[in-house]
Amino acid sequence: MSFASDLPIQNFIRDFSQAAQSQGWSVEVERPIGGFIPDLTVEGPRGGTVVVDVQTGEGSVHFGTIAQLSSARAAIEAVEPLPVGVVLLTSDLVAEAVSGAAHELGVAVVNVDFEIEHLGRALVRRLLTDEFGMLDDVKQEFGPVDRDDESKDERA
Amino acid sequence: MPEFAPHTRLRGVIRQVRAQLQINHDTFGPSEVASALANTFGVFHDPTVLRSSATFSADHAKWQQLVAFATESPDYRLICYTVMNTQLQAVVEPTHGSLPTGCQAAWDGIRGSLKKKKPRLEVARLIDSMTNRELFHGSDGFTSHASTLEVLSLVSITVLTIVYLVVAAATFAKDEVDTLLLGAIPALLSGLVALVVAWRLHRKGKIRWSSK
Repeated sequence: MSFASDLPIQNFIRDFSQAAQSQGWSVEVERPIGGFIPDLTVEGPRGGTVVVDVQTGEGSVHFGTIAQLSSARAAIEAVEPLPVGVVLLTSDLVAEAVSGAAHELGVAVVNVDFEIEHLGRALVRRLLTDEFGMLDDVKQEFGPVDRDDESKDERA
Repeated sequence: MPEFAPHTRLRGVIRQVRAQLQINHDTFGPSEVASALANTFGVFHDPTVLRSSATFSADHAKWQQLVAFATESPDYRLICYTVMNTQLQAVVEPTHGSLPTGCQAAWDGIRGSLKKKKPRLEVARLIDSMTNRELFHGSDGFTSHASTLEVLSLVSITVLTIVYLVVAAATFAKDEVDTLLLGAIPALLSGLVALVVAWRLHRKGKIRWSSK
C-alpha cells in the first residue's frame, strides 16, 4: 500500500518507530531487502528482523498478498542469517480462510484500527514480545511487559 | 521519523506484476467451484503450476493443499482460492502474454464457470510484487465504462443539446420544432449510443483498468 500521504498511518509509523527505537530496535521505511521492499523493516540489536506490510482501504485481504509475504520471507531469509518474522498490518476485512492460510504459512495478520492513538507502541510490544512468538530469542532482550503502560494503551 | 527510501534504489530492477481478483457469487461449495472451473477451462486442477509461480513457489507444497484450482496457459497462470461459499479470490500471473489480456481471459473463464451463480467481479488489481502496492485498479461495472472521457463527452453533448432544444422550442424556434429536432438527432443519439456501448462492455464483463 502507499502510505506516503496517509496521516493516520504516518502517525502510526512515527509512533511505531519511536517505540521500537526505545527498545533498541531500528526501523526503516521501504528498505529494499532480498528483492522486496516491505513497508517497514524492523531490526533488533542482535539481528532479528521483522518485516511489516501495511494494507488499508482495499476492502478485504487477498490470499495473493499472504502468498507474496510468505514468498518475501523466504527470499529475505536467503540473505539474512536469522529467522525473519512477517507481519501484515491491516484495517481491512480478514476472512477466516485467508487468516487460516496466513497462519499455516507463518504470516502474522494483525487487524488494527489506524485511528487508535498509541497503536505503534502497543503494537511493538505485541509483535516483538508477547503474542506472536516469531522472535523467541528476541524476547530475552525485553523486560517483562509493563502492565501500567499496557493499561494506559488500552484506555487510549 | 525514518526517511523514505529514494526511488533511485529501484533503478535497474525488473518489477514483477500480478493481478488479484475478488469475485462474489451466490452460494456454491468449494469443490463445486473447483469442478465448474475445471469444466470451463477444459483442464484439471494442476497443483504443480504453483511451483513455477513467482508468488507461490516458495511455499508451493503448502499452497498445493490450500488452493481450489490452478492452471497455466501459454499466456497466463491462474490460481484460485475459495474464501467462503460466496467468494472466490484469484491470482493471475503472466507467462508469455500480457497481464491485462490474461486477466480478461481468466475473468471470462470464471464468469462462464459460475454463470448460474451470478458471479460479480468485486475488484481487480494489478499489484507490484516487489512492494505489494496497487498499480492499476480494474472493474467491469457499468459506471467504470460510462465514466470514460469519451462517453462523458458524448453524453454531455446530448444533455446540452436537450437543454438547447427545450429553450429553442419555447422561444425563438417555436414554429420550427420539427426541423430543430431533425437537426439535433445526431447529437441526441451520440450520448445514447455511447451509453449503450458502455452497457454492452459491462454485460460482456470487459475489465476497464485505471490508475489510482
